[in-house]
Amino acid sequence: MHIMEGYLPVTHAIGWTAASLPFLVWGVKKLKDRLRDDPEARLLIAAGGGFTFVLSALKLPSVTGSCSHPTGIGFGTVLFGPAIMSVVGCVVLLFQALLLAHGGLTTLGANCFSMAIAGGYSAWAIWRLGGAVRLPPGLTIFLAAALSDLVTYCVTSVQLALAFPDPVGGVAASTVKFLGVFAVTQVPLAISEGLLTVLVMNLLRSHAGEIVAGFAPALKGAAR
Amino acid sequence: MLHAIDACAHTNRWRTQGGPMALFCAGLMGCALLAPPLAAAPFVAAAASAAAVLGARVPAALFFRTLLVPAGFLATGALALCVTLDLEHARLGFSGAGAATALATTLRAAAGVTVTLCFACIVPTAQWIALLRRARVPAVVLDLLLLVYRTLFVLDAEFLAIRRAQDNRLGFRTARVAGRNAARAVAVLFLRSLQRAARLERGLAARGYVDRLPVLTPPSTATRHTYAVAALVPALVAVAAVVLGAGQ
Repeated sequence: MHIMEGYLPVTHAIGWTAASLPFLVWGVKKLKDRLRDDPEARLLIAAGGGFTFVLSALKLPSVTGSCSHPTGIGFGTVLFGPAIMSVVGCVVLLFQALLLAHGGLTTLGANCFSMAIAGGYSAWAIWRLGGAVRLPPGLTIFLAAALSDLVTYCVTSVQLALAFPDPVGGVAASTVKFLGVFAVTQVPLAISEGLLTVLVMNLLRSHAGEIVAGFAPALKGAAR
Repeated sequence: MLHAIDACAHTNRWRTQGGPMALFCAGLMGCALLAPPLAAAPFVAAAASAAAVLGARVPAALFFRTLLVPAGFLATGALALCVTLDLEHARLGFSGAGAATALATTLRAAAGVTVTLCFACIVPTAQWIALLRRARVPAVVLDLLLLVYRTLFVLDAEFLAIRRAQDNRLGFRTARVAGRNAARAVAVLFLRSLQRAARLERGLAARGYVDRLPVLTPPSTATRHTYAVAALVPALVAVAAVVLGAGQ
Protein backbone atom coordinates (compact mmCIF):
# COMPACT_ATOMS: atom_id res chain seq x y z
CA MET A 1 0.00 0.00 0.00
CA HIS A 2 1.64 3.17 -1.19
CA ILE A 3 0.77 6.81 -0.78
CA MET A 4 -0.09 8.33 -4.15
CA GLU A 5 2.00 10.86 -6.03
CA GLY A 6 1.50 14.39 -4.68
CA TYR A 7 -0.79 13.22 -1.87
CA LEU A 8 1.48 14.42 0.95
CA PRO A 9 2.15 18.11 1.55
CA VAL A 10 5.65 19.08 0.46
CA THR A 11 7.05 19.45 4.00
CA HIS A 12 5.91 15.93 4.89
CA ALA A 13 7.32 14.53 1.66
CA ILE A 14 10.71 16.12 2.41
CA GLY A 15 10.56 15.06 6.07
CA TRP A 16 9.92 11.38 5.29
CA THR A 17 12.62 11.43 2.62
CA ALA A 18 15.07 12.83 5.18
CA ALA A 19 13.98 10.16 7.68
CA SER A 20 14.61 7.41 5.11
CA LEU A 21 18.03 8.65 3.98
CA PRO A 22 20.18 7.37 6.89
CA PHE A 23 18.72 3.87 6.47
CA LEU A 24 19.31 3.97 2.73
CA VAL A 25 22.89 5.20 3.16
CA TRP A 26 23.50 2.34 5.60
CA GLY A 27 21.82 -0.07 3.17
CA VAL A 28 24.03 1.09 0.28
CA LYS A 29 27.11 0.57 2.45
CA LYS A 30 25.98 -2.96 3.37
CA LEU A 31 25.18 -3.65 -0.28
CA LYS A 32 28.67 -2.54 -1.33
CA ASP A 33 30.23 -4.73 1.39
CA ARG A 34 28.14 -7.73 0.34
CA LEU A 35 29.03 -7.30 -3.34
CA ARG A 36 32.73 -6.88 -2.54
CA ASP A 37 32.68 -10.18 -0.60
CA ASP A 38 30.36 -11.97 -3.01
CA PRO A 39 30.13 -10.33 -6.47
CA GLU A 40 27.84 -13.09 -7.74
CA ALA A 41 25.15 -11.96 -5.29
CA ARG A 42 24.58 -8.87 -7.46
CA LEU A 43 22.32 -10.66 -9.90
CA LEU A 44 20.53 -12.61 -7.19
CA ILE A 45 19.71 -9.38 -5.39
CA ALA A 46 18.51 -7.88 -8.68
CA ALA A 47 16.36 -10.97 -9.27
CA GLY A 48 15.00 -10.53 -5.74
CA GLY A 49 14.09 -6.96 -6.67
CA GLY A 50 12.30 -8.10 -9.83
CA PHE A 51 10.49 -10.78 -7.84
CA THR A 52 9.34 -8.24 -5.23
CA PHE A 53 8.16 -5.92 -8.00
CA VAL A 54 6.04 -8.57 -9.70
CA LEU A 55 4.64 -9.77 -6.37
CA SER A 56 3.77 -6.30 -5.16
CA ALA A 57 2.19 -5.30 -8.44
CA LEU A 58 -0.92 -7.26 -7.49
CA LYS A 59 -3.04 -4.30 -6.37
CA LEU A 60 -6.28 -4.01 -4.43
CA PRO A 61 -7.97 -0.63 -4.07
CA SER A 62 -8.22 0.86 -0.61
CA VAL A 63 -10.11 3.88 0.63
CA THR A 64 -7.33 6.18 1.78
CA GLY A 65 -5.73 7.54 -1.38
CA SER A 66 -3.68 4.40 -1.42
CA CYS A 67 -3.97 0.76 -2.42
CA SER A 68 -3.06 -2.59 -0.94
CA HIS A 69 -0.97 -5.52 -2.19
CA PRO A 70 1.41 -8.18 -0.86
CA THR A 71 4.73 -6.41 -0.25
CA GLY A 72 7.13 -9.36 -0.48
CA ILE A 73 9.34 -7.42 1.93
CA GLY A 74 9.19 -10.04 4.69
CA PHE A 75 10.34 -12.73 2.26
CA GLY A 76 13.08 -10.53 0.81
CA THR A 77 14.30 -9.42 4.23
CA VAL A 78 14.70 -12.99 5.41
CA LEU A 79 16.76 -13.68 2.27
CA PHE A 80 18.93 -10.58 2.01
CA GLY A 81 18.73 -8.84 5.40
CA PRO A 82 16.96 -5.57 6.23
CA ALA A 83 19.68 -3.12 5.21
CA ILE A 84 20.05 -4.46 1.65
CA MET A 85 16.30 -5.01 1.36
CA SER A 86 15.68 -1.35 2.21
CA VAL A 87 17.68 -0.37 -0.91
CA VAL A 88 16.03 -3.07 -3.03
CA GLY A 89 12.62 -1.96 -1.73
CA CYS A 90 13.37 1.64 -2.67
CA VAL A 91 14.39 0.56 -6.20
CA VAL A 92 11.18 -1.47 -6.51
CA LEU A 93 9.10 1.50 -5.33
CA LEU A 94 10.79 3.72 -7.90
CA PHE A 95 9.90 1.34 -10.73
CA GLN A 96 6.35 0.97 -9.43
CA ALA A 97 5.94 4.75 -9.43
CA LEU A 98 7.22 5.10 -13.00
CA LEU A 99 6.05 1.94 -14.74
CA LEU A 100 2.79 1.22 -12.91
CA ALA A 101 1.66 4.73 -11.83
CA HIS A 102 1.58 3.21 -8.37
CA GLY A 103 3.00 5.24 -5.47
CA GLY A 104 4.97 8.29 -6.52
CA LEU A 105 8.28 10.10 -6.81
CA THR A 106 7.47 12.81 -4.26
CA THR A 107 6.11 10.18 -1.87
CA LEU A 108 9.01 7.78 -2.49
CA GLY A 109 10.63 8.68 0.84
CA ALA A 110 7.41 8.11 2.80
CA ASN A 111 6.62 4.85 1.02
CA CYS A 112 10.21 3.68 1.38
CA PHE A 113 10.08 4.41 5.11
CA SER A 114 6.84 2.52 5.68
CA MET A 115 7.40 -0.48 3.40
CA ALA A 116 11.12 -1.01 2.92
CA ILE A 117 12.45 0.33 6.23
CA ALA A 118 9.76 -0.10 8.91
CA GLY A 119 8.40 -3.26 7.23
CA GLY A 120 11.86 -4.69 6.54
CA TYR A 121 13.41 -4.05 9.94
CA SER A 122 10.32 -5.29 11.78
CA ALA A 123 10.34 -8.50 9.71
CA TRP A 124 14.02 -8.97 10.54
CA ALA A 125 13.43 -8.30 14.27
CA ILE A 126 10.58 -10.86 14.35
CA TRP A 127 12.64 -13.40 12.39
CA ARG A 128 15.60 -13.04 14.80
CA LEU A 129 13.38 -12.97 17.88
CA GLY A 130 11.53 -16.08 16.73
CA GLY A 131 14.88 -17.83 16.29
CA ALA A 132 16.07 -16.67 19.70
CA VAL A 133 13.00 -17.99 21.56
CA ARG A 134 13.00 -21.15 19.40
CA LEU A 135 9.58 -20.69 17.82
CA PRO A 136 8.85 -23.19 15.03
CA PRO A 137 10.49 -21.74 11.87
CA GLY A 138 7.23 -21.88 9.91
CA LEU A 139 5.47 -19.82 12.57
CA THR A 140 8.38 -17.37 12.68
CA ILE A 141 8.21 -16.86 8.91
CA PHE A 142 4.44 -16.41 9.09
CA LEU A 143 4.78 -13.81 11.86
CA ALA A 144 7.65 -12.00 10.10
CA ALA A 145 5.72 -11.70 6.82
CA ALA A 146 2.30 -10.92 8.33
CA LEU A 147 3.44 -8.52 11.05
CA SER A 148 5.80 -6.64 8.74
CA ASP A 149 2.79 -6.08 6.49
CA LEU A 150 0.82 -4.78 9.46
CA VAL A 151 3.70 -2.53 10.55
CA THR A 152 3.80 -1.09 7.01
CA TYR A 153 0.08 -0.42 7.19
CA CYS A 154 0.32 1.18 10.65
CA VAL A 155 3.19 3.44 9.60
CA THR A 156 1.35 4.50 6.42
CA SER A 157 -1.72 5.31 8.53
CA VAL A 158 0.38 7.44 10.89
CA GLN A 159 2.00 9.19 7.91
CA LEU A 160 -1.42 10.04 6.50
CA ALA A 161 -2.75 11.06 9.93
CA LEU A 162 0.18 13.43 10.50
CA ALA A 163 -0.44 14.99 7.08
CA PHE A 164 -4.21 15.16 7.48
CA PRO A 165 -5.15 15.53 11.17
CA ASP A 166 -8.85 15.20 11.86
CA PRO A 167 -10.54 18.64 12.21
CA VAL A 168 -12.20 17.48 15.44
CA GLY A 169 -10.03 14.77 17.00
CA GLY A 170 -6.60 15.74 15.67
CA VAL A 171 -3.84 13.28 14.77
CA ALA A 172 -5.07 10.57 17.17
CA ALA A 173 -8.56 10.44 15.67
CA SER A 174 -7.13 10.60 12.19
CA THR A 175 -4.80 7.68 12.93
CA VAL A 176 -7.73 5.63 14.20
CA LYS A 177 -9.73 6.59 11.10
CA PHE A 178 -6.99 5.57 8.65
CA LEU A 179 -6.17 2.39 10.59
CA GLY A 180 -9.86 1.52 10.48
CA VAL A 181 -10.32 1.99 6.77
CA PHE A 182 -7.04 0.26 5.89
CA ALA A 183 -7.83 -2.66 8.18
CA VAL A 184 -10.62 -3.80 5.86
CA THR A 185 -8.14 -4.77 3.17
CA GLN A 186 -4.83 -4.90 5.02
CA VAL A 187 -5.50 -7.29 7.91
CA PRO A 188 -6.78 -10.14 5.68
CA LEU A 189 -3.98 -9.35 3.25
CA ALA A 190 -1.32 -9.56 5.98
CA ILE A 191 -2.64 -12.95 7.10
CA SER A 192 -2.77 -14.11 3.46
CA GLU A 193 0.78 -12.92 2.84
CA GLY A 194 1.99 -14.69 5.98
CA LEU A 195 0.37 -17.96 4.92
CA LEU A 196 1.56 -17.53 1.35
CA THR A 197 5.14 -16.96 2.50
CA VAL A 198 5.07 -20.13 4.62
CA LEU A 199 3.68 -22.15 1.68
CA VAL A 200 6.32 -20.69 -0.63
CA MET A 201 9.08 -21.55 1.85
CA ASN A 202 7.73 -25.11 2.20
CA LEU A 203 7.65 -25.55 -1.57
CA LEU A 204 11.13 -24.11 -1.97
CA ARG A 205 12.43 -26.32 0.81
CA SER A 206 10.91 -29.48 -0.62
CA HIS A 207 11.74 -28.82 -4.29
CA ALA A 208 14.78 -26.55 -4.26
CA GLY A 209 16.26 -26.74 -0.78
CA GLU A 210 19.85 -26.92 -1.98
CA ILE A 211 19.51 -23.96 -4.34
CA VAL A 212 17.91 -21.72 -1.75
CA ALA A 213 20.20 -22.77 1.08
CA GLY A 214 23.14 -22.05 -1.23
CA PHE A 215 22.62 -18.31 -1.07
CA ALA A 216 20.46 -17.92 2.00
CA PRO A 217 21.74 -20.30 4.66
CA ALA A 218 19.30 -18.81 7.18
CA LEU A 219 16.50 -20.52 5.30
CA LYS A 220 17.91 -24.03 5.44
CA GLY A 221 15.06 -26.06 6.89
CA ALA A 222 13.25 -22.85 7.70
CA ALA A 223 9.59 -23.47 6.95
CA ARG A 224 8.11 -26.57 8.50
CA MET B 1 0.55 -1.14 -18.36
CA LEU B 2 4.15 -2.04 -17.55
CA HIS B 3 5.02 -2.90 -21.15
CA ALA B 4 2.90 -0.12 -22.66
CA ILE B 5 4.55 2.67 -20.65
CA ASP B 6 8.04 1.33 -21.30
CA ALA B 7 7.41 0.88 -25.03
CA CYS B 8 6.00 4.38 -25.20
CA ALA B 9 9.06 5.83 -23.48
CA HIS B 10 11.27 4.19 -26.11
CA THR B 11 9.24 5.21 -29.15
CA ASN B 12 7.85 8.70 -28.47
CA ARG B 13 8.93 11.73 -30.46
CA TRP B 14 10.83 13.35 -27.57
CA ARG B 15 12.69 10.25 -26.37
CA THR B 16 16.05 11.92 -26.96
CA GLN B 17 15.12 14.97 -24.88
CA GLY B 18 15.69 13.40 -21.45
CA GLY B 19 17.35 16.46 -19.85
CA PRO B 20 14.76 19.07 -20.91
CA MET B 21 11.87 16.74 -20.07
CA ALA B 22 13.28 16.10 -16.60
CA LEU B 23 13.55 19.87 -16.10
CA PHE B 24 10.02 20.39 -17.44
CA CYS B 25 8.51 17.71 -15.21
CA ALA B 26 10.47 18.85 -12.14
CA GLY B 27 9.20 22.38 -12.70
CA LEU B 28 5.61 21.25 -13.11
CA MET B 29 5.88 19.02 -10.04
CA GLY B 30 7.18 22.00 -8.07
CA CYS B 31 4.12 23.99 -9.21
CA ALA B 32 1.78 21.15 -8.28
CA LEU B 33 3.23 20.87 -4.78
CA LEU B 34 3.89 24.50 -3.93
CA ALA B 35 1.30 26.62 -5.74
CA PRO B 36 -2.34 26.84 -4.57
CA PRO B 37 -3.82 23.53 -5.81
CA LEU B 38 -7.19 24.90 -6.96
CA ALA B 39 -5.46 27.29 -9.35
CA ALA B 40 -2.34 25.30 -10.22
CA ALA B 41 -3.58 21.73 -10.64
CA PRO B 42 -5.64 22.25 -13.82
CA PHE B 43 -2.78 24.12 -15.50
CA VAL B 44 -0.18 21.56 -14.41
CA ALA B 45 -2.31 18.62 -15.56
CA ALA B 46 -3.11 20.35 -18.86
CA ALA B 47 0.56 21.21 -19.53
CA ALA B 48 1.77 17.68 -18.71
CA SER B 49 -0.99 16.04 -20.77
CA ALA B 50 -0.38 18.37 -23.73
CA ALA B 51 3.36 17.73 -23.60
CA ALA B 52 2.84 13.98 -23.55
CA VAL B 53 -0.02 13.62 -26.02
CA LEU B 54 0.46 16.53 -28.40
CA GLY B 55 4.20 17.07 -28.08
CA ALA B 56 5.70 13.62 -27.62
CA ARG B 57 2.81 11.86 -29.42
CA VAL B 58 2.13 9.43 -26.61
CA PRO B 59 -1.10 7.63 -27.57
CA ALA B 60 -3.92 9.55 -25.86
CA ALA B 61 -5.84 6.34 -25.11
CA LEU B 62 -2.86 4.86 -23.27
CA PHE B 63 -2.10 8.06 -21.36
CA PHE B 64 -5.62 8.74 -20.12
CA ARG B 65 -6.45 5.08 -19.54
CA THR B 66 -3.38 4.78 -17.33
CA LEU B 67 -4.53 7.83 -15.37
CA LEU B 68 -7.88 6.18 -14.64
CA VAL B 69 -6.48 3.73 -12.08
CA PRO B 70 -4.86 6.34 -9.79
CA ALA B 71 -7.91 8.58 -10.35
CA GLY B 72 -10.09 5.82 -8.90
CA PHE B 73 -7.84 5.54 -5.84
CA LEU B 74 -7.90 9.33 -5.41
CA ALA B 75 -11.68 9.48 -5.59
CA THR B 76 -12.08 6.84 -2.90
CA GLY B 77 -9.31 8.45 -0.82
CA ALA B 78 -11.12 11.80 -0.92
CA LEU B 79 -14.10 10.22 0.86
CA ALA B 80 -11.94 9.30 3.85
CA LEU B 81 -10.69 12.88 4.15
CA CYS B 82 -14.26 14.24 4.14
CA VAL B 83 -15.16 12.16 7.19
CA THR B 84 -14.36 13.32 10.70
CA LEU B 85 -14.11 11.08 13.74
CA ASP B 86 -15.13 12.20 17.23
CA LEU B 87 -13.25 9.85 19.54
CA GLU B 88 -15.05 11.03 22.69
CA HIS B 89 -18.49 10.09 21.39
CA ALA B 90 -17.25 7.48 18.88
CA ARG B 91 -19.14 9.27 16.12
CA LEU B 92 -18.43 9.74 12.44
CA GLY B 93 -19.55 12.85 10.63
CA PHE B 94 -19.09 14.99 7.55
CA SER B 95 -16.55 17.78 7.85
CA GLY B 96 -16.55 20.92 5.70
CA ALA B 97 -12.88 21.55 6.49
CA GLY B 98 -12.14 17.93 5.64
CA ALA B 99 -13.94 18.30 2.31
CA ALA B 100 -11.84 21.38 1.50
CA THR B 101 -8.67 19.44 2.37
CA ALA B 102 -9.89 16.51 0.26
CA LEU B 103 -10.48 18.77 -2.74
CA ALA B 104 -7.07 20.44 -2.47
CA THR B 105 -5.27 17.14 -1.87
CA THR B 106 -7.04 15.33 -4.68
CA LEU B 107 -6.29 18.11 -7.15
CA ARG B 108 -2.64 18.27 -6.08
CA ALA B 109 -2.26 14.50 -6.32
CA ALA B 110 -4.04 14.33 -9.69
CA ALA B 111 -1.66 16.97 -11.05
CA GLY B 112 1.32 15.13 -9.57
CA VAL B 113 0.25 11.78 -11.03
CA THR B 114 -0.18 13.38 -14.48
CA VAL B 115 3.32 14.88 -14.34
CA THR B 116 4.90 11.60 -13.26
CA LEU B 117 3.08 9.71 -15.99
CA CYS B 118 4.20 12.31 -18.52
CA PHE B 119 7.81 11.76 -17.41
CA ALA B 120 7.48 7.96 -17.43
CA CYS B 121 5.92 7.93 -20.91
CA ILE B 122 8.53 10.24 -22.46
CA VAL B 123 11.90 9.53 -20.81
CA PRO B 124 13.28 5.99 -21.29
CA THR B 125 14.68 4.25 -18.20
CA ALA B 126 18.26 4.29 -19.48
CA GLN B 127 18.06 8.07 -19.86
CA TRP B 128 16.76 8.83 -16.38
CA ILE B 129 19.34 6.47 -14.95
CA ALA B 130 21.98 8.44 -16.89
CA LEU B 131 20.56 11.62 -15.30
CA LEU B 132 20.83 10.00 -11.85
CA ARG B 133 24.47 9.12 -12.67
CA ARG B 134 25.10 12.79 -13.42
CA ALA B 135 23.47 13.64 -10.08
CA ARG B 136 26.14 11.40 -8.43
CA VAL B 137 23.80 8.70 -7.17
CA PRO B 138 26.08 5.81 -5.99
CA ALA B 139 27.12 3.51 -8.85
CA VAL B 140 26.06 0.40 -6.95
CA VAL B 141 22.47 1.70 -6.80
CA LEU B 142 22.44 2.56 -10.50
CA ASP B 143 23.80 -0.87 -11.31
CA LEU B 144 21.04 -2.42 -9.22
CA LEU B 145 18.45 -0.25 -10.99
CA LEU B 146 19.62 -1.44 -14.39
CA LEU B 147 19.72 -5.08 -13.37
CA VAL B 148 16.27 -4.96 -11.74
CA TYR B 149 14.95 -3.23 -14.88
CA ARG B 150 16.31 -6.09 -16.99
CA THR B 151 14.57 -8.72 -14.88
CA LEU B 152 11.19 -6.98 -14.47
CA PHE B 153 9.72 -7.73 -17.85
CA VAL B 154 10.93 -11.31 -18.04
CA LEU B 155 9.55 -12.10 -14.59
CA ASP B 156 6.29 -10.32 -15.30
CA ALA B 157 5.81 -12.39 -18.47
CA GLU B 158 6.77 -15.58 -16.57
CA PHE B 159 4.29 -14.82 -13.80
CA LEU B 160 1.46 -14.18 -16.25
CA ALA B 161 2.25 -17.41 -18.07
CA ILE B 162 2.28 -19.38 -14.81
CA ARG B 163 -1.04 -17.88 -13.70
CA ARG B 164 -2.61 -18.51 -17.12
CA ALA B 165 -1.47 -22.14 -17.09
CA GLN B 166 -2.92 -22.61 -13.60
CA ASP B 167 -6.14 -20.93 -14.64
CA ASN B 168 -6.43 -23.23 -17.66
CA ARG B 169 -6.15 -26.22 -15.32
CA LEU B 170 -8.99 -24.77 -13.14
CA GLY B 171 -6.42 -23.88 -10.50
CA PHE B 172 -8.59 -21.23 -8.87
CA ARG B 173 -11.92 -23.05 -8.57
CA THR B 174 -12.01 -22.98 -4.76
CA ALA B 175 -10.41 -20.64 -2.25
CA ARG B 176 -8.23 -23.43 -0.83
CA VAL B 177 -6.93 -24.53 -4.24
CA ALA B 178 -6.48 -20.91 -5.27
CA GLY B 179 -4.36 -20.20 -2.19
CA ARG B 180 -2.19 -23.26 -2.77
CA ASN B 181 -1.73 -22.40 -6.44
CA ALA B 182 -0.88 -18.78 -5.66
CA ALA B 183 1.88 -20.06 -3.38
CA ARG B 184 3.06 -22.45 -6.10
CA ALA B 185 3.10 -19.64 -8.63
CA VAL B 186 5.17 -17.43 -6.32
CA ALA B 187 7.58 -20.29 -5.51
CA VAL B 188 8.02 -21.17 -9.18
CA LEU B 189 8.49 -17.51 -10.02
CA PHE B 190 11.17 -17.23 -7.36
CA LEU B 191 13.04 -20.25 -8.75
CA ARG B 192 12.70 -18.94 -12.30
CA SER B 193 14.06 -15.58 -11.16
CA LEU B 194 17.11 -17.38 -9.74
CA GLN B 195 17.57 -19.31 -12.98
CA ARG B 196 17.26 -16.11 -15.01
CA ALA B 197 19.77 -14.41 -12.73
CA ALA B 198 22.23 -17.28 -13.24
CA ARG B 199 21.78 -17.13 -17.02
CA LEU B 200 22.11 -13.36 -17.06
CA GLU B 201 25.25 -13.64 -14.96
CA ARG B 202 26.83 -16.11 -17.40
CA GLY B 203 25.86 -13.96 -20.37
CA LEU B 204 27.21 -10.77 -18.85
CA ALA B 205 30.38 -12.47 -17.60
CA ALA B 206 31.03 -13.65 -21.17
CA ARG B 207 30.93 -9.98 -22.22
CA GLY B 208 33.43 -8.94 -19.54
CA TYR B 209 30.95 -7.61 -16.97
CA VAL B 210 32.57 -6.77 -13.64
CA ASP B 211 30.63 -4.11 -11.78
CA ARG B 212 29.29 -1.61 -14.27
CA LEU B 213 26.69 -2.20 -16.93
CA PRO B 214 27.19 0.30 -19.74
CA VAL B 215 23.96 1.13 -21.55
CA LEU B 216 24.03 3.03 -24.79
CA THR B 217 21.44 5.78 -25.02
CA PRO B 218 20.57 7.54 -28.26
CA PRO B 219 22.49 10.81 -28.62
CA SER B 220 20.63 13.68 -26.99
CA THR B 221 19.04 16.21 -29.32
CA ALA B 222 18.50 18.72 -26.51
CA THR B 223 19.58 22.28 -27.24
CA ARG B 224 19.65 25.49 -25.21
CA HIS B 225 16.38 26.37 -26.88
CA THR B 226 14.63 23.18 -25.67
CA TYR B 227 16.00 23.69 -22.14
CA ALA B 228 14.70 27.26 -22.20
CA VAL B 229 11.23 26.17 -23.30
CA ALA B 230 11.25 23.37 -20.71
CA ALA B 231 11.95 25.93 -17.98
CA LEU B 232 9.62 28.60 -19.36
CA VAL B 233 6.41 26.55 -19.42
CA PRO B 234 6.46 25.64 -15.69
CA ALA B 235 7.41 29.25 -14.90
CA LEU B 236 4.34 30.47 -16.81
CA VAL B 237 2.16 27.89 -15.09
CA ALA B 238 3.49 29.06 -11.71
CA VAL B 239 2.79 32.72 -12.52
CA ALA B 240 -0.72 31.91 -13.75
CA ALA B 241 -1.42 29.81 -10.65
CA VAL B 242 -0.17 32.49 -8.27
CA VAL B 243 -2.16 35.24 -10.02
CA LEU B 244 -5.34 33.16 -10.11
CA GLY B 245 -4.72 31.86 -6.59
CA ALA B 246 -4.39 35.39 -5.25
CA GLY B 247 -7.71 36.32 -6.85
CA GLN B 248 -9.59 33.43 -5.20
